[in-house]
Amino acid sequence: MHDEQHDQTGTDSVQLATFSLVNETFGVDTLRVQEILTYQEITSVPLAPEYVRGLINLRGQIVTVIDLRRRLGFEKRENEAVGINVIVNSDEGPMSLLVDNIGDVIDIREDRLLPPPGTIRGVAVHYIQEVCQLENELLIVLDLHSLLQLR
Amino acid sequence: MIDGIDRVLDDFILESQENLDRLDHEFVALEHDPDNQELLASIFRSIHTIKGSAGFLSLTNLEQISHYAEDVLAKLRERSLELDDHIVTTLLHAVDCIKTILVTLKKTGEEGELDILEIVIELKNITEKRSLQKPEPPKKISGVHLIIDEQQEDESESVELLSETIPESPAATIRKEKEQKTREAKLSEALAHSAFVEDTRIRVDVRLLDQLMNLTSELVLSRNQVLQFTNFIEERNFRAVAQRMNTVVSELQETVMKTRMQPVKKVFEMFPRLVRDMSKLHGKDVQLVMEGQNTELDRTLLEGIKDPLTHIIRNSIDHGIELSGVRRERGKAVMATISIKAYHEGGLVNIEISDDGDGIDTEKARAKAIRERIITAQQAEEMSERNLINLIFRPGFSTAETVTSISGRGVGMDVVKKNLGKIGGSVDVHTERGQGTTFKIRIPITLAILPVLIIKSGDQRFVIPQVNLEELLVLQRNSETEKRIEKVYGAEVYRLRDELLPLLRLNTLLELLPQEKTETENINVVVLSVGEIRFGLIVDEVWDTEEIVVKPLSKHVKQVPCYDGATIMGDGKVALILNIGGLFRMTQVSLEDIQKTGQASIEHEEALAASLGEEQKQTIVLFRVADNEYYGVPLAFVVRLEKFSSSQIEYSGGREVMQYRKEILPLLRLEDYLNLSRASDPETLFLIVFAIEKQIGLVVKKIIDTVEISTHIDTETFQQQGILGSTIVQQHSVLIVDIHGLIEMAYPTWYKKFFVSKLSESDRQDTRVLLVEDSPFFLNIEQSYLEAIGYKVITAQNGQEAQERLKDYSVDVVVTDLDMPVCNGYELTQIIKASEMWSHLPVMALTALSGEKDRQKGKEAGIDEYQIKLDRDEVLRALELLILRNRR
Repeated sequence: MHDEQHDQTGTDSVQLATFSLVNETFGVDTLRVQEILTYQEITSVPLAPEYVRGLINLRGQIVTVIDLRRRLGFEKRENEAVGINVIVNSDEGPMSLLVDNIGDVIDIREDRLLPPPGTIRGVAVHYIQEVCQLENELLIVLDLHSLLQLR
Repeated sequence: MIDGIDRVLDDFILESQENLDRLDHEFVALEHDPDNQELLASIFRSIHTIKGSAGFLSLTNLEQISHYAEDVLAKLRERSLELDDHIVTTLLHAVDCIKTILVTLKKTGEEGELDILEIVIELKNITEKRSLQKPEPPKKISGVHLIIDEQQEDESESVELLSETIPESPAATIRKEKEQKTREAKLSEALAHSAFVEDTRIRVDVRLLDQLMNLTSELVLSRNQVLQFTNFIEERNFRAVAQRMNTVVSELQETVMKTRMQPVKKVFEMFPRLVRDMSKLHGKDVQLVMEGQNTELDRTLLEGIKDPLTHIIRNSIDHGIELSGVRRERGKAVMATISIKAYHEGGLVNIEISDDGDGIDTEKARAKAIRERIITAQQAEEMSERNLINLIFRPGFSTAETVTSISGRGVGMDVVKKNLGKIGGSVDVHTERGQGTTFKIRIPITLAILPVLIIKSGDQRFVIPQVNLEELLVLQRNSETEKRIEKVYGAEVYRLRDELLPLLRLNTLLELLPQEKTETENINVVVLSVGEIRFGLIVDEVWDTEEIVVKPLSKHVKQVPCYDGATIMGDGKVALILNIGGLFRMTQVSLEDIQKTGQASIEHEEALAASLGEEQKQTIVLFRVADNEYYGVPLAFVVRLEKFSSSQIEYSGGREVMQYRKEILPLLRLEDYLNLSRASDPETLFLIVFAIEKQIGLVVKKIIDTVEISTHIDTETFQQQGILGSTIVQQHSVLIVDIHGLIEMAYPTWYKKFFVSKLSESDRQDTRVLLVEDSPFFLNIEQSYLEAIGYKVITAQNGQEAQERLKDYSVDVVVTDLDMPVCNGYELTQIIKASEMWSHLPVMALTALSGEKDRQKGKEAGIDEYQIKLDRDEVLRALELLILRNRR
């Protein structure tokens, strides 16, 4: 399915899965996204870095849930038992990014992707690959590699 | 034995067959890529293995072929020979011959009559010829430069061979062709049979089995979920299907696990030979006893225990077991025994290797460890026995005075431990000087499935590998046992059987919110060990043991040192596996500090004891009559402890009694004689039954525990009839009840009525006993029971005082303790027996425990009689005899 769409949009275009955190919109390459899951019961991992929300059972595989709010320096959720798991592939198998809401899958021409502006807040800047000005908002494309890296 | 050999042979055939199949491909590959050293090395190894095994099994033909093939390969490897078509062909022929022999071997158990001379010569030719750096056209070699190995072939054969291999001789060619044909025929037969050899077994990649295992575990989880549904769904058909699925899945799981299982026999089989050879080598007489050989273990783990076990056995024979002469001198059986026992316990495989040798000399170990700078002299001083023994697992350590070819080089026991650790196992040593050493190895049955204990802390489940689990303790909150938790250097410790056990709280360690306390007011302590470390982990709840499938963690979680992995529980939720070593290291607790303190407190107690003379402990039964008053009574006088209903109390002659074991049991209450207010009875009461001439029961509100107390009790603070003295037990002040005195208070005629004696009452009243005892506890008890039956008692606290009393009073008999400060019992007796004035006095010694050695020593000093302090009946009987004998 991905391939088909990819072909239609041409080589100079990327397909991004978008989601929101607080009021911001983020995107990751759809090729890296394995699936989307609604909220699952999470087993927390005491003493783990704060951004690690815990572990979930994904059909018998143990998947680490990274809370993107915490990873990107947003305030915590009021209700911890919400959020959507964006399951992405990594070198270590699937990982989950916990986000507030899932958005559309959009195609963006590569030339519209710009390096992050210098005004972006502290923590997040390490994880931002590019940005793209959409009609009403700024879409932030995340760098999955550094996002899943230990810091 | 025959069976053993057969099995070895079978394994050899199968293994070789596999090797040979690979060789076929490798030779062909080598032909295309003659410079591939790796390939050559692999071929060399395969042939070398066959040679080695064949030599071991005395299969001379096989050994020869592989030997000469190996020579060729060696030349190839060192590049003094260049690979060509002829060499490959010859080597392949050699492989074929080996195959043929293997088939015959499989069928008949013998090598068969295959003529190997030709191939051997061909191989030998290649080696000798080419190494002379005279390359020749390959076709000619065999004929012209034939060299016969004189040692192996007799002459007639050589001649025949010579003629046979002359290249241009047509007859020879024909014969050769003919032989070639028969050989081919044999070969095809061999190939046909080679399929037969592998018939029932196939090689499967272990990874495939792992995957199969994982999938099965998933299925088990789904099954569990389905089963949960059956509770809600009434549909009978569904239930039946679910049940069926349940059985099948369980069986599937078991079967899949079995695919990886092999009996430990596979490893144990090597040991009889090992023990035989080793004992011959050392000139020791050793027999091997093996038990539980059918205990099954995961294949990979089986491989992992081979070296550690071998090493332990070698060590036992080398260092542990004494020479026959020494054993005879020590009165031990000349034939030493090593026993190996394997068994399942708690989801783990236990293997115990015991010898009845000399044991580990901890002093030697200590000295050695200091000399080798493994530990400092100070550390060594502070080490417990257990840790001293564990020194043998430190790298660079060996207690053997001489380094032998087998062991004593300081590599070994540390490797044993490391290797076992790699497969999730542990090793423990128990040793007794002069009696022997036992190594206890604990390993999981399989690595994929881990037996664990499930615990809960801070509303979250965790699992603890059972290999780390030692025992579970439940301490009642606000009880005496809880009081055994002490603080040392800011860390909590618990005194468990005279050992200080560091305590860690999982809630604190993992920064968990403690669970809301329910009615379970107990403290759960899980006693864990990892290597030399032993500690107690306080958790909120202890659940069940279970077998789990270990799943890996991502690096984000793995960076926390206290987790080993995770698992999916029956309800589909995730639980973390605790890494016990990691958990302990996270804390700031220093084991050495704790040991130091433990040592210090023990030393303090010992010093205290020494300053007071002897250190004797006595067990008392601790009980309560009112809420906060604690009493104790020496266990030695107690015959039974009972729980009974207050409604069973009856009255007889205005006194409380009850029917007990078909008799009327008089009852006593402390409250009545110690001026305590008596509260109304609860429904259940406790009874402490004594037998002093006759059974009598003490009614108490609650029996708490039995505890050991020092016999140096305080006799000053509470001076009261019926009380021996007071002491502090677990931070409570405890009054020790004088049961003899109490009975006399309650029933003044008790002893008159029940005490049977050859001495009349007035005789007893006229007899003066000098009682010498330094412990107030014993002094008061002994005085009490002596006075209760009428004797006049004069007391002294040591031999010196006793002599003064003897000067002041006229005494009829001396009853003395042995271990006393200033002047002990032996010295006192010697003085008495040597004195003109006192030598007629009978002397009875009282000891806490009777020992034959003391008895001998006492006899030499002149002691007339020996008794155990709290054995009242015997003491009184013996005293009476002494008095009677002395009158005559």
